[in-house]
Amino acid sequence: MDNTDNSLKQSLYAKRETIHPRHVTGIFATLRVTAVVVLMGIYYGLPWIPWDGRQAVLFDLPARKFYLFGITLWPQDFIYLAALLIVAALSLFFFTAIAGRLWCGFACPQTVWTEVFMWIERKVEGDRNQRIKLDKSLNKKHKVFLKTVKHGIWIILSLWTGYTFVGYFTPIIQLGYKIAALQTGPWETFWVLFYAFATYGNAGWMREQVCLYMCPYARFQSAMFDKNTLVISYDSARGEPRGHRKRSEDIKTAGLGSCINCKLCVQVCPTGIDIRDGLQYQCIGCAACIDACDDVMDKMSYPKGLIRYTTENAFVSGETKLLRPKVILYALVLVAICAALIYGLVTRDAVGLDVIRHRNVLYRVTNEGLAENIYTLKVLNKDNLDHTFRVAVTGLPGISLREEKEVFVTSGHVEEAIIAVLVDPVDMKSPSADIDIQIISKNNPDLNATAKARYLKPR
Amino acid sequence: MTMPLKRRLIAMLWPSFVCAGIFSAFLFAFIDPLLLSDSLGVEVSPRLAGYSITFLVLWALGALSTLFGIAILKTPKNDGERKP
Ligand code: SF4
Ligand code: SF4
Repeated sequence: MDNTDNSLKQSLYAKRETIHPRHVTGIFATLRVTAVVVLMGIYYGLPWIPWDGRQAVLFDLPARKFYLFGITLWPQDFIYLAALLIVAALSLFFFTAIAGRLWCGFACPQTVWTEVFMWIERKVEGDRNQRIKLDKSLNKKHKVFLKTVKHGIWIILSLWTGYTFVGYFTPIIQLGYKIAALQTGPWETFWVLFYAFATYGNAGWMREQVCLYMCPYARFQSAMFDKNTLVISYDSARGEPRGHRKRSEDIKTAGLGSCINCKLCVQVCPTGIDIRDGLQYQCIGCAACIDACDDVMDKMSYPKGLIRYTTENAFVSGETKLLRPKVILYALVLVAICAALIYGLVTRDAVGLDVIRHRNVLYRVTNEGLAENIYTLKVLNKDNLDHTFRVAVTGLPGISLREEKEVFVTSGHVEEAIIAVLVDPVDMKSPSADIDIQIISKNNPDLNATAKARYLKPR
Repeated sequence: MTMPLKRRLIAMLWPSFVCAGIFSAFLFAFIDPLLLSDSLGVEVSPRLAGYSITFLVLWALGALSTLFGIAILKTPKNDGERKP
C-alpha cells in the first residue's frame, strides 16, 4: 500500500483509541453517582406515578394535551413550555458562569447514561487494566463471551430506556401491555427502537465523542466563562517539576514538585486528556482527576488540591469574585421569568374567549330601527370537564342579544358561535363604543371570560 | 478540506435532527397534524403518524441541505496540482 492510500484511509476513518477510564472513588465520584442515581430514578420512575386516575407526567401527543401533575396544558399554552425552555437555558448560563461545566460533569444525559454503561462494563469486564488486557487477549472464547454479555445487558437497558421514553408521550402502562402482546403501532415501535438505538450508540460506543463532535453546549460554553469561573486546573507552580520519587524522599532536596507523574489523572479521565497540559476544550469538568490526584496526595502525605476547582483569578491574585454583573444579571432574569411562569400558571384562565367582528357587514339596521352588529366568538375550554357557556353582553344602555346564545364546548376544545348584538342607536352618543362580551359556564359561574369588542353605530 | 467520514455523517445527521425536532414541536404547537394532513389532502392518522412523518421529512430535508453544504465546502482538487 502506498502513502496516499494510507493517508486517505486515515482521513476517512478517524482513528479513535478506545478510552478505558479507570474507576475512581472520592468526593466528586460520590457526588456524581448520587446525581446519576437521582436522575435515573426520576427518568425511569416518573411515568409510573399515577395522578387522579391518569399518569402524573404525560405529554399526551396523540390527544394533544400535556399533564404535569395537577396541571393540564393545551397546545394554546405553548408559551409556558417556551418559558420553561428559556428558564432551562438561563439556568445553564448561570451555572456555567459560576462553576464551569457543572452540567457536563454531573447532569448531562450523555454523562449519566455513559456512567451507567461504564458501570455495567466494569462489572462484566473488570476495571481499566483488565479491559485493556481483554481487548488484547487472544483467548477468543472468553473475550466473545464477556463482550456478548456486556452488549446484551446494554441492549436490554437501552430497550427499556426507549420504552420509558415513549411512555412519556403515550400512557406507559397501556404501552407495556401492547408491547407484551406485540401489538404496538408502527410509530410506537419505531420510536422505542430509535431511542434505544440512540442510547446504546451514544452511551456504549460514542461516549466522549458526543461531547467532542456533537454537543453544541461544549462549543459555546467557553463564551460564558470568565476569570472568576470555577474550572478544574492543575497547579503547575506546585506540581512541577514532576517526577517519580520515593515516599520518604524530601521533595525540596530532590528539587521536585508535588506531581509524582503517576498518570492516574490521565487514566481516570473519560475524555482521555492530561489536565496537566492546561485547560482544554475536551475537559467536561467531571472532576475525576481531582479525586484521583487527591488520593495520591494523601498517600504521599502531601496536601490535597494539586488538581482542584479554582478560578483564573484565584491563581493570579488569590481572590475570586462570585457576584459579578453577569452572574447577578442571569440570576435576576431567571428569578423574574420563574416568577412570571408560576404566576401565569396559577392564574391561568380555564376558559378563553376571542371575539372577531363580522368581516363584511359592519352593521345593520333592523326593521325595528335597532342597530345590529355581528360577532364571531371562539370559546376555548381548557377545563377538564365539558361546559355549556351562556353568552352575555354589557357596556351600552339597553344592549341585548337578538337570541339567547349557549355554546357547548367539550373539554380541551374550541367552538365557534355567531352572535348578533342589538342596541338602540339613539342611546349611542359616539359613532362607536366598546362593549363587553362575556361567557359564563352554566354549572360553574366562576368559570367565565370576558372580551372587549368594538360596536359601530349606523351612519 | 478533508474531514473524516464519521464527522461528516455527524454533521449531516445530527444538527438536522435537532432542528427537525424543534421545528416539529413549534409547528404542532399551532397546528393539529390531523388538520394539516386534511388540508394537504392526504390521509395520515393517527396523530402519532402525522408527527413522526413530518419530523422525518424535516430531518431528511435538513440532512440534504447539510450534504449540499458539505459538498460545496470541499475544495475540488486541481488535476495539474495533484502530487504524485
Ligand atoms: S460536552 Fe455536551 S454531551 Fe458532553 S457532557 Fe457536556 S453537555 Fe453533555
Ligand atoms: S481532565 Fe479531569 S475533569 Fe476534565 S474530563 Fe478529564 S478527568 Fe474530568
